[in-house]
Amino acid sequence: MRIASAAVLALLSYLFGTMLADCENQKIKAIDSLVDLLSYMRRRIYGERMPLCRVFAEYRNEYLEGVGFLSVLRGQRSGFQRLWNSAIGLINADEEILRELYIFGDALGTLELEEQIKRIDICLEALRQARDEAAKAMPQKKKSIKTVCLLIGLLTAIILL
Amino acid sequence: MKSTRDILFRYLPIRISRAVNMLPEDIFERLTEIRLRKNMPISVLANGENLTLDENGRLCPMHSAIQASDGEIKECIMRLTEGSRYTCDEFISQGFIPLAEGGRAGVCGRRDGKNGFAEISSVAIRLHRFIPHAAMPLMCEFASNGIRGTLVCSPPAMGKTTFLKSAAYMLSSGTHLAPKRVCIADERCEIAPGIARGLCDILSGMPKAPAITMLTRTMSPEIIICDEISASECEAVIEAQSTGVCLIASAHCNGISSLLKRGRMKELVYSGIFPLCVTLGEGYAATVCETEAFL
Repeated sequence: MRIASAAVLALLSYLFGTMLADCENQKIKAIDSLVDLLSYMRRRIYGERMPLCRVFAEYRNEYLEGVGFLSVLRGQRSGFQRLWNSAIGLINADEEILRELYIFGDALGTLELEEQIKRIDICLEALRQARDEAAKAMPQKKKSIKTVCLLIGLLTAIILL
Repeated sequence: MKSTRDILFRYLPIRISRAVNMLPEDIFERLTEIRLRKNMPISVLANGENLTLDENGRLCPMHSAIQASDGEIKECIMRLTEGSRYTCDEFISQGFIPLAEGGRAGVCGRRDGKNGFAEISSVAIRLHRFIPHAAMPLMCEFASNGIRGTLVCSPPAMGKTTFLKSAAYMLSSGTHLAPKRVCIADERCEIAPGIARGLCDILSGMPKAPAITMLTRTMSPEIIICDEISASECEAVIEAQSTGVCLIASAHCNGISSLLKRGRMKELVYSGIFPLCVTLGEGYAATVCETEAFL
């Protein structure tokens, strides 16, 4: 009975580790979605001078809609700095990425075209770089998380035995 | 058409809109302009009079008047540009931001090295009212003697744009005369909003001179309406008029006599393009007269 419980505990720990590793996947998905959003913003702003209220109303993205990011930005006519920074709070991302996004949000909609595009490009560059780094480190990170969780489970099981 | 209060709350920061909203009703009804200056008194223009107010909307001397902070000026610009300043770069470089309801907000401050402003320190929001029958005296004249080129003269903020809006509306919708094909050369996007009905074609955001030429060549209008004609547009206007299209335009001046002291404008008046002249007085009162009487 004890051995069976220990095995279940170890298995549950491993499954918990797998879930945590999936969260890391979500972080990459979040960055991908933000890169897509910023690329879309760049196209519509540079090409058509489209106001932000229309940009956010017309943009579609499953992840950003799912976490409520776009709902915060939609239906508003101004104040996109504040709204952007509130929406960022809903994103699952590393601190460094969040910092970049807050810096971008601080001037969103308050700049002339040239400067606004420059800010988008800077943010895009930072996000793409972070995405590449995260993707590169991902397999190792996932493996580590799963291993650590499994070890904790095993250790707990041994102690309980 | 949005009311003055809608415009107020849409474009002004809360503290300022609350103060303006609490102005005595008779003054509020006659508001034509709200002027914000960074760290200086906010003033309103009612019946041609500059008035300063306190936080509770009471008229007060300048030293105790409500002032706009740097943040409030920025917020006002943000609201005027709908949170997307880049959409208004071209207009801001010319010193104004068009309002969605018609009218405009004039801006000034410190220019940057390029074409815009490094800092905007003053905003003057012009409230244009749509008074459908403001141009009735002109319509009566047209009904008696036929439609002729007309120059609407008055100093700033006396209702020239309101008069032109009404003329565009009445002529294109056939309110007093049979409907006409009216084209509006609306460089500052001020005339067209709110009156787009009837036989009205609008070319907005384009400088008046090429707009008049383009409309004349491509839209076969019976009447062209444009705002605030200046010396630089004289040539295009004279050229366009060789086709026989009637032009109704406005100009900043105290009357035809003062216009005749300005070189190229004098040429324009003498060219016979504007056989009629409308002068505007208090409360949008319009007087129609023959230009010939001044020549």
